[in-house]
Amino acid sequence: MANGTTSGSAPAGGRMQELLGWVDARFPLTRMWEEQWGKYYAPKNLNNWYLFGSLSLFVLVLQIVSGIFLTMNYKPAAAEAFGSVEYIMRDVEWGWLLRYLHSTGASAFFLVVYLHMFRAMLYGSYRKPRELLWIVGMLIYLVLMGEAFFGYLLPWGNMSYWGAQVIVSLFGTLPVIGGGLVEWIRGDFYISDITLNRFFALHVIALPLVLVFLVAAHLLALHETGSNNPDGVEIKKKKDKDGNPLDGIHSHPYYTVKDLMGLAFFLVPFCAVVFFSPELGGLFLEAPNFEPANPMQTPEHIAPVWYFTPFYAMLRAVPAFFGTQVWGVLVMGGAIVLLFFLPWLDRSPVKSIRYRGPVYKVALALFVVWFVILGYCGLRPAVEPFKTLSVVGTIYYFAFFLLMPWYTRLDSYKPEPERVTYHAH
Amino acid sequence: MDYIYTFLRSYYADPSRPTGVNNLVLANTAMPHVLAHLQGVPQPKIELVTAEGGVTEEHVTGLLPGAPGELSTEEYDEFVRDTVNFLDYVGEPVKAERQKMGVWVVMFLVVFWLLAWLLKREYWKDIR
Repeated sequence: MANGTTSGSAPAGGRMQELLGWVDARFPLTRMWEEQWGKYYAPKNLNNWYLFGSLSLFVLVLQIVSGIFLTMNYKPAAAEAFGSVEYIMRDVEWGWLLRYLHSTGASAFFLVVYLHMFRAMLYGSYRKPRELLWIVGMLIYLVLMGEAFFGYLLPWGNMSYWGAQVIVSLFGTLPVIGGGLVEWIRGDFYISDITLNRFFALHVIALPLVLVFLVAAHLLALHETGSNNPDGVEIKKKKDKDGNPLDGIHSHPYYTVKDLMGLAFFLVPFCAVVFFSPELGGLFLEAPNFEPANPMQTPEHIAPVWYFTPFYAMLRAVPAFFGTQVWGVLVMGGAIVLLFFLPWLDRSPVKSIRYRGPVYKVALALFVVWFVILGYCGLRPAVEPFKTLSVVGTIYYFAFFLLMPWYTRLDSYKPEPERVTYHAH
Repeated sequence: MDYIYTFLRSYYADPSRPTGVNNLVLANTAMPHVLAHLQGVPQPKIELVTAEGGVTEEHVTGLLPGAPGELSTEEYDEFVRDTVNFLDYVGEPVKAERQKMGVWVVMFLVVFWLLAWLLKREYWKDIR
């Protein structure tokens, strides 16, 4: 005690520092925190479009936590699944809240992810050197679609059943292997108890595990290349004498408090849906799903949940020819695959929409309009005018990507600034 | 909910149907009038309606009192209202509690957002 360095009367902060030092000597805790967030330099001009990344992360955690508690009370068996969901809704303490958080969370996940992806398209965030970041993000989107599809069967409602029936049978259109593949996916000759069991396994463990791993890779890749920004200029090009970006600020506390504000803003409409309108007029929870699965009775109109409908509309827009429906499936798959190539399709000399020419601006605006129209068509029965709109929308979707190498190169552009534009408020 | 209430009050006698009744809200419904012993079975009010093409057809335009049931008209309406309300409640027992709680949750979040926004503004004052 004579030198007093580690005496019992040392201030609490000193003790904590000591403990941290002990950990840091054995595990790079402080270094990880500082590299990944604490002292990670983010451009100071990130606008509100940049909130959807952290919101996606929040919804992922929400889905995992609410999912764990739902799993404790859910029974993945054809004879019991529907009843166990009603049991959760009526008898489990706060079960209704867990379920509504999870069901609303699923739709919210896609909403924030779509906005996050659109942000990347606005500011060219997928461009060099962030191609891999974009590809990992696309993989996340792909796994998320699988996760949503498998999860949708679990309540074992009639729409769950027939939705799964339709989607699984898509694989049946593939030549030669189709029939066997469908049987292999279902594990049976029809959607049955066995299918429910394996979808449960994939939904609660396999895909979430992959998802968490991919999200970690996405964040590591982001913090390696550094964030893009609304001006699309690299902040790493202009550094101060210490080698830190002049236009960068520490994520903590600046983006910590900004993301917190974004979270609070997101939670207002989110909780309004959870507490006042969890079905959202049949958009988030569909009416036929309040009836148990019935293999003998097809719902009047089978439609996937809203986040799949743009692609569902494309599937239906393509007619069968040469005696097979496989073309629609290929178009739908191609629509997703194309997104992976976005970093190489875009040949504009500038990244951000701010400095792009009118051609790209109009093309992107129309892309949004047509994507929304496709989504609406996918919700409606395949009758006119939705059939024609779906065809036109599909053609536009593909033209937008496939012609991109030409129109982005020919389009005019304004010179990018040297530094980011930021107006202090 | 309003639909089921109106539906249960819109049966009328129709000997051409297998159930002996028809419904104004859902024509040719397959559901028998299960509450007939309470309401009795109203008679249809049939009028001649001339369509635009000049074709005159018989249409059921309303209900007339028929054989009386165990309940008076007022009692029957009251009974149907209670039944429909109960069905709505039992469909999702937590609904009322959920909505009551939601008001507080949303109010809290609005305040939280305001505070988070002020906090963000305070920190961001340093950034030029």
